[in-house]
Amino acid sequence: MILSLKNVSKTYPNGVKALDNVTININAGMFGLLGPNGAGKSSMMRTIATLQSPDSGSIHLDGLDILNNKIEFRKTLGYLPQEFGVYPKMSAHDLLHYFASLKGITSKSERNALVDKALEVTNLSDVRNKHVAGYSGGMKQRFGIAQLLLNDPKLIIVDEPTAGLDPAERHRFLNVLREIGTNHIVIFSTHIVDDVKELCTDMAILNGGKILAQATPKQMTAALAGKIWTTTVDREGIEQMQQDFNVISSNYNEDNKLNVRVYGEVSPGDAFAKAEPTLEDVYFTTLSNDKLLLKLKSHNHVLNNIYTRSKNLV
Amino acid sequence: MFSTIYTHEVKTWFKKPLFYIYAAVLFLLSLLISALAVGVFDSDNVTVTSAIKLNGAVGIYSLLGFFAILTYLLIPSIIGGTIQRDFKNNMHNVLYSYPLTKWNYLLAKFSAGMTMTLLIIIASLIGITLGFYLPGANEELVGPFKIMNYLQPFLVYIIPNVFFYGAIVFAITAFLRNVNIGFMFVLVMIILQFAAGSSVPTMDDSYWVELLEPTGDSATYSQIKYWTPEEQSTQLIPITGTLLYNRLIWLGISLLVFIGVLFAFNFSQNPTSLSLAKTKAQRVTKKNFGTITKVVMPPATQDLSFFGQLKTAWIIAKSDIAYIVKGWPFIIIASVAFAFSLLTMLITGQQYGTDILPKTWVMLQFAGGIFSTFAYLLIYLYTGLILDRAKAAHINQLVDATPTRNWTMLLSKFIAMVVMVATILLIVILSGIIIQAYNGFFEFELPLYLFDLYVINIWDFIPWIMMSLLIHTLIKNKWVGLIVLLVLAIGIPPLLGAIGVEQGQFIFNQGAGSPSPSDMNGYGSGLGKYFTYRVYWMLLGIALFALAVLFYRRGMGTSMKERIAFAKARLSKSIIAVMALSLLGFFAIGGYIWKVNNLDNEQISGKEQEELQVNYEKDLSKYGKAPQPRLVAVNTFMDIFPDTRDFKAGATYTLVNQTDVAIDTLHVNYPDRPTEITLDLESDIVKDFEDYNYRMYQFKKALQPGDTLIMKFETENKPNTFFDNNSPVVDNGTFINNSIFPSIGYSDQFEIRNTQIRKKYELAPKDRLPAPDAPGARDNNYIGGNSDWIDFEATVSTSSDQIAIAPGYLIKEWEEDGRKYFNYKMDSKILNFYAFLSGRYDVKRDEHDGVKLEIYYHPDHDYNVDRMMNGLKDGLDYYNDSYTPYQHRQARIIEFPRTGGGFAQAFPNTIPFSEAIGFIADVDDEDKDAVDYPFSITAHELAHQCGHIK
Repeated sequence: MILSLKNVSKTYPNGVKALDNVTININAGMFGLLGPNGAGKSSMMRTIATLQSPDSGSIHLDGLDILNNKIEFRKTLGYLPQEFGVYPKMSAHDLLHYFASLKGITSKSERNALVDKALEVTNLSDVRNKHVAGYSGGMKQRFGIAQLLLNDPKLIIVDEPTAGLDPAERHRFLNVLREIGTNHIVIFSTHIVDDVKELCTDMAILNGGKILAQATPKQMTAALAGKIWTTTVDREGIEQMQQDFNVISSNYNEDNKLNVRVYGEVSPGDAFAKAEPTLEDVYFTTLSNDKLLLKLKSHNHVLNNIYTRSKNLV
Repeated sequence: MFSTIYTHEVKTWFKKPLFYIYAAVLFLLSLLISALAVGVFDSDNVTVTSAIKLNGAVGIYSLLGFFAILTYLLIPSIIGGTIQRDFKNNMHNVLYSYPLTKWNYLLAKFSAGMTMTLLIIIASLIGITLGFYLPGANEELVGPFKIMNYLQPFLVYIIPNVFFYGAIVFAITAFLRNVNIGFMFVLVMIILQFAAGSSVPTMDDSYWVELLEPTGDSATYSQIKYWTPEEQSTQLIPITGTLLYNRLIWLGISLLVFIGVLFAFNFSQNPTSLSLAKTKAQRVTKKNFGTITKVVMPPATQDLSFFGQLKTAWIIAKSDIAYIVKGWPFIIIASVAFAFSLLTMLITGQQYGTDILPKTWVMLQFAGGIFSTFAYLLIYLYTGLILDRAKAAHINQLVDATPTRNWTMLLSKFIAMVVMVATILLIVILSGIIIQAYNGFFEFELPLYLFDLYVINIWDFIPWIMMSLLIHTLIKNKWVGLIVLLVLAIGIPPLLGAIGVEQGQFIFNQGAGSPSPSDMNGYGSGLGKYFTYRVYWMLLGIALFALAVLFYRRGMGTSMKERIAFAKARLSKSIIAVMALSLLGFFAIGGYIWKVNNLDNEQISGKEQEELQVNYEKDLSKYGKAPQPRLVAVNTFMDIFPDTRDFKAGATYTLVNQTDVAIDTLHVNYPDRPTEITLDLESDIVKDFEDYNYRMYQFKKALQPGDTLIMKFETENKPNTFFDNNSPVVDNGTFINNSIFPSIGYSDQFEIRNTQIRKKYELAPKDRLPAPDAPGARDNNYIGGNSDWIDFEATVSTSSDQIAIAPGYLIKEWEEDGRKYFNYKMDSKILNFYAFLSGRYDVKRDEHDGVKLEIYYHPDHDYNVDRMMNGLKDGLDYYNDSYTPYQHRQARIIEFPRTGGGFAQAFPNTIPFSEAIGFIADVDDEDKDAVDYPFSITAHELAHQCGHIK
């Protein structure tokens, strides 16, 4: 199973180029779409979910031209938008039946079985008769998963589902997603690097409407092996350091000093120790670089063109 | 602080297209109506006249009042919307944490909303004023410009009323954060206002209504009801008495409400809850951390076939239905409509202080009429609400990403609206039955309720549902959609009328008004025509629906350009086929209707009718003084065929030259149907004005004084079709009078009487009633034209199950070829005014002082037959003593269907009496103020014949 976007572009009336000639292939498994706020993640998700039309380009799922066969495609789609509301005064049970019907499941017995299973999987069985409008953020998000499962979708799109969830809910949520993701395509957008690290079999970094990198999380970090250096510096020294080196990130530690991570082909100096690259390093490097850093040939999963050196990097 | 918020709000409104749309619509509508009222469109239309000058204070007040009502409907979206906007954009969370005082905040918001509403009404006022001065305006109708005429209605009515509606809507929005409930409130108030307006004229003491009716209209009505046209044209409305108190009371109430809001409002983030029972507080904790479940979904069969989608449409419609029917707005409206129909029944369900029996058709008329107004408003509103429902709940992305097809989505909305209408109709039945039971009347006639509402009436609503779906699909803002629909419904028909479009087939969902049942005659012959028109509009509705499918909003907001591109992409073969077929049917039926109305029959527009009357008078009135022979005897036959609703009739007129000059020309008005006239004198038709159906026969040898002329004719109706009824004959209860027969001489009955129209066409002023000593004024009696007292004989035939009646005594009755024949002959002379009746009657017979009394009534209508019999007897006693003896040996009352009219009429020894009066009166003998009108009308009609008083 493969979802392929070819030269997809979308410019909003206010001039924002949300998608800029995006070409990408996505295979079965968990696919993480990582990018900062405003990168175009939601636009890409909505475009794949056929909720908005691209200005140009094509999208195919296993040979099905989804932009011209929306209904056929939506049969196999499970979509959870970044934000959604529910009809007031409707219980999870009723609302799920409503969605099952909208998804074309006309047999009542099938609907019952599906709704029960979806409630069970998302652990909402106990509150099935409570109004969804009164659910907590986590429960509502699980409800969102329950509704997308109802048609046993082949392609699942979830847009920043973990935002605002407490750690326990987040874990639970990601586990359910992972379970589904074993046989299906699950596209999952986030700006939280850890979400991707833990779960995804494949990932891409998106910014300014462009795909900057695509590989597995492991390949991503491997690409930076031996090039990340770390040191500790006083608050006063950070400005100088930012001038001299390629600082990827700096974090306060408990001594009120800064742990600094620096990118370099060779050791930037004695004060620096070699560090294991993290996915976060890849993310920040890619964003600051703003150029195609890694490209994975999706069919053979072989790393190709491991990286292209940019002007900024030494 | 106040001015910052105020200017910000006003500026925000000025940036919104919504404001300009409202203002433009109101302006144009006002311009149109005012231009219509002062006759700007007279060149294409009937001449508009008015007794008063329309730009007097009274004229402005009534014109502006109509548009003010439209504007009140906008108040929820303007004043309510002003405060709602902060909730909607979630601004309130931030805003309420700022150091604003709530007084400033609320005052500024409210004043801004008031300002915008008043500006819209000013736009309407400007429209009205401009209309008066458009080229073509009739100067007779417009007086000199006086600014006070405009200021007074604005200051005394508009500002306080906008304040009143605004304050309450503001309160509702501030506390419940629901503009829709505010809208329902305004709707209910407007309806109550209409209720008060329609009941005040019939009330003896309307003091309390005048005080308590919030808009002051009832109080105003009683201030000016006895004014002469001159006063209404020139004077300001006096603000005294109940009107003054009314204005003060409601200004006070509005102020109280508003101040109440100022005090009670708090900057909290949650709306005030309406629920009565408090749910118990519970501590909620989280369980079930981190369990892993295998996710294997059961099989899901997605059936997106046509029938599968129909099923889906029904299932998802149920959710919308629940949303509508269980929602407070609907419940409130339904209860108010129910209360209102009870009230209407109590106040207006009476004639002369006496209740009429709550027969089912009466219920259908009152309750059905009230609810249908509500139903239309709810359709216009709720199609918008349910189309916007997913979006408003932010669930639209989930819904839109499902594989359900666009037409299925739209169909489900359609189904929901139809069910809503069906629910309203169910409430009609319930309220009807409750009113009936309350009056102790238990003949519920459930099949009639069901047939009238669910087989006939419901089709009136369906084309409008489809139109609403299209409008609300095309227009995103539901309030703009609502006003567009209101304009379509109440603005477009007069506009079309203004440019001379009068035929129902060119005005959306019009043509053949709603058929209404009669106990005697059921729905008569109107159903074929009614359903033809309904199918015609339904077909257009289907095309509109298909168009709505093309433009159905799905996915993220898009520009108009994109929507047109989408629509093109969605234009599938099946949609094209549906559109083409429905439009084909629409035009085919339309063509047929047009042919029947314009080719098979002569279509005369109001304008043409007016000109016809003018020309008739100009061309023919010169013959008014031409001496004519007078009718002295009529021997007539009338064959009535109730099954096919045909008739064939004829008569022999005996005419005598009673003048002292020779008459060389006979002037005949002949009916507009196949008619054969023969004279026993040799003559030529010298002139035949076919437009006026007026023919002149010139005798070869003049008719000398005292000579007799025999005129014979036969006439029959043009054939009836299921669409085109050409005959006054009905299935049961035919009532035809001799106006369908030819008559002699020029008649001034057809002349235009309105002074202003006569002046426009340069016709001489017409005397209302000539002086008794004026020459010729007493030549004719009050009825029947060129005739004196006549001898009368009639043979009437009908189908074998009916009785046929004409004036005279029954001489002979026989059957021939399966038909019944009745020969009636009068032994004394009568006026030239007679009628033929035929129906399936029961007969009640009695005798009083040698006069045979008979009542022919519909077998179910035996409620008051005894009273009517007493009316006949007491009447005879009284008139015999007070006037002259009753000249006939027999008096008969014959019931006829209410579809023929709601009156009784006195013919010699024959009194046709409508089923709508008397027969179904519910006389309360205890009530001294109530009139026993079955008795009194009977007696009145009898009096027409005793001593021949009018």
